[in-house]
Amino acid sequence: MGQYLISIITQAAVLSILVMGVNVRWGYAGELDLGFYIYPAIGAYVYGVVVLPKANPLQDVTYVLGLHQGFFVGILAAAVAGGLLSVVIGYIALRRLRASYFGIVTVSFTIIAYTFIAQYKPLFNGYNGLYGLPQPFSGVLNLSPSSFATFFLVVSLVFMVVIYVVLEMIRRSPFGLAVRAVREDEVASLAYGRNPFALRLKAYVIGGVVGAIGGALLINYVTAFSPAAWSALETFLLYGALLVGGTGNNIGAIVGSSLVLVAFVQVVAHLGQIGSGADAGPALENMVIGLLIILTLWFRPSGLFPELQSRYGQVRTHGQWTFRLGRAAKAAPDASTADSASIGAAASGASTPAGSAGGGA
Amino acid sequence: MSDASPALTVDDVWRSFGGVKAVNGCSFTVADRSITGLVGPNGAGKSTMINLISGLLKPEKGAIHLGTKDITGLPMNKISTAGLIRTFQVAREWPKLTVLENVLAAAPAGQREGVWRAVLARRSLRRADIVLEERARGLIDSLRLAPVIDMPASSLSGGQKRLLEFARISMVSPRIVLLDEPLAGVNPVLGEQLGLAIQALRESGSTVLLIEHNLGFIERFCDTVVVMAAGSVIGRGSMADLRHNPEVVEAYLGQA
Repeated sequence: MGQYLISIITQAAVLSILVMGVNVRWGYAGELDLGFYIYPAIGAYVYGVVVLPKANPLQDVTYVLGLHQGFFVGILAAAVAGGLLSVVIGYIALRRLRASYFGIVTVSFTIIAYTFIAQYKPLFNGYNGLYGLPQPFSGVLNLSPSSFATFFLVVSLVFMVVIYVVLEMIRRSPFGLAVRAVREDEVASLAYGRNPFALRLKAYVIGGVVGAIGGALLINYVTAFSPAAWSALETFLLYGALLVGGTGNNIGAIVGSSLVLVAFVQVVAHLGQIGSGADAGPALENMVIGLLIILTLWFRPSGLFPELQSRYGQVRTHGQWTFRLGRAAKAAPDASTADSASIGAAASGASTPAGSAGGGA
Repeated sequence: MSDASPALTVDDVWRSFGGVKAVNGCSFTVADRSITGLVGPNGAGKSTMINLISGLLKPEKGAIHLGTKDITGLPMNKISTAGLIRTFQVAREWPKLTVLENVLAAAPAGQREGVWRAVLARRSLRRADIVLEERARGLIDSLRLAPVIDMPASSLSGGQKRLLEFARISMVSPRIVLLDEPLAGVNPVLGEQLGLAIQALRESGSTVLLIEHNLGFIERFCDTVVVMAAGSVIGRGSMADLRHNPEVVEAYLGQA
């Protein structure tokens, strides 16, 4: 495989993880988190300061910690940091705020954090950010740069698959159903004994942990991380990828990010020099992504891979939670056999089927 | 199951909105395993009363007991898990979830909805799920919603949404059910079926308190009727008794 392909597939895998994080929040729980990028950023920074050695003030580089730890310690620290930050922000923002109000608060937090991290040099080296990260497992594997790229591609794909599997387990679980119910009608969930705040907060934390792990992989991929990497626009690009791929669907998140954030960007880059100036390329990318979002919303509003029922897997529609495939379709209107519940006796005692009676409304 | 231990006791409950006293000094009991009607003119405070009992609103004063448990001022979800399920004037289904998912999502959460369980205890969750799904399918069949079982609930007709509500309630087997105008927007034939479904709820062990303006329906299906006007209870008894109560006739029945 050429270095170019390895590079862009790695990029797709890492960005897919970020978009899956957005999907837990927005797709599962309906939390319009417009400041999502703070979680990949915190994951990247925390990973950086955990694996980097002590900062060297002589080179005008300052950051906290500098623990010089290995890859897995860094990933774990990033995940914990993302989870803790989610608890704090989620606890404040999810308590009473919904929809656009919630979105405004999240984006405000991110702007505050962005400004603070960029200006306060002792934390993560300010605008210059973190760079010169050691290659993961460098002491153990001693890979050449090109074989390391292949190795890191495999690592990223493993992370992507594991996160996908765990998030699918969560989606298909009773917890996943309860979270989606809260998204659909919070008061109805209250009426059936659920605590919407707790369910939303849990989904928010899961999304934050996934985002932070993605961020830790991202800083490995780009080998540096600074405020320039996480402007407010980045969050919208992740949403764009999810919208195109299919909100609520993890395969949609992976396909959407691969298409929107990687493939189309590459295509645009290969169109050659359109217009003059260095900004023309990125500007064109954003225009293409914007157009894709509009086309998706117009022609296929639920995305390439629409959200599935809770019990459904991607391949076998009736996945792990039920094995009675097709029973619903085959045994449709046979109400006369049902007497399992006492209510059934009452219902079948009525003279007209509910289907026809209700159908007129 | 004597009247000595009512399913629901409302004791001198007050609630105002700004300067408007919506409920002032309301007291009544709902006998265990009865079907009790709550009637009264518009603005009498019936819906506010249901909202106060179910925890959507908090009373300013007074006490509400579910059986012997004090539920005054508890959050709605706590009251629900204590055994009280309510419906709303407008059916509140989870629109994008299918009919089956709606019924499953109504089942008591218990310990099933933990996040770690979703990943680490899938086998036991699946076993519980199969039992619940069997039950949900039975309820859906019995309410003749089987043809739409995999349709999103938002695509149901108004009447079907009412039936779905009953399937969800039956999934819980609550101690008491509060129904806020269950017949709103329902045709007479389906209304009859809903009446029978309400009776079936009682037979399965639930107590029912319902707000309804259709007095014929109330007379047919309710054992006791509580009449509210201007935020207080002004009468209680069977529909036949109330027709001879001058205060009730003046406040409500006279115009009916």
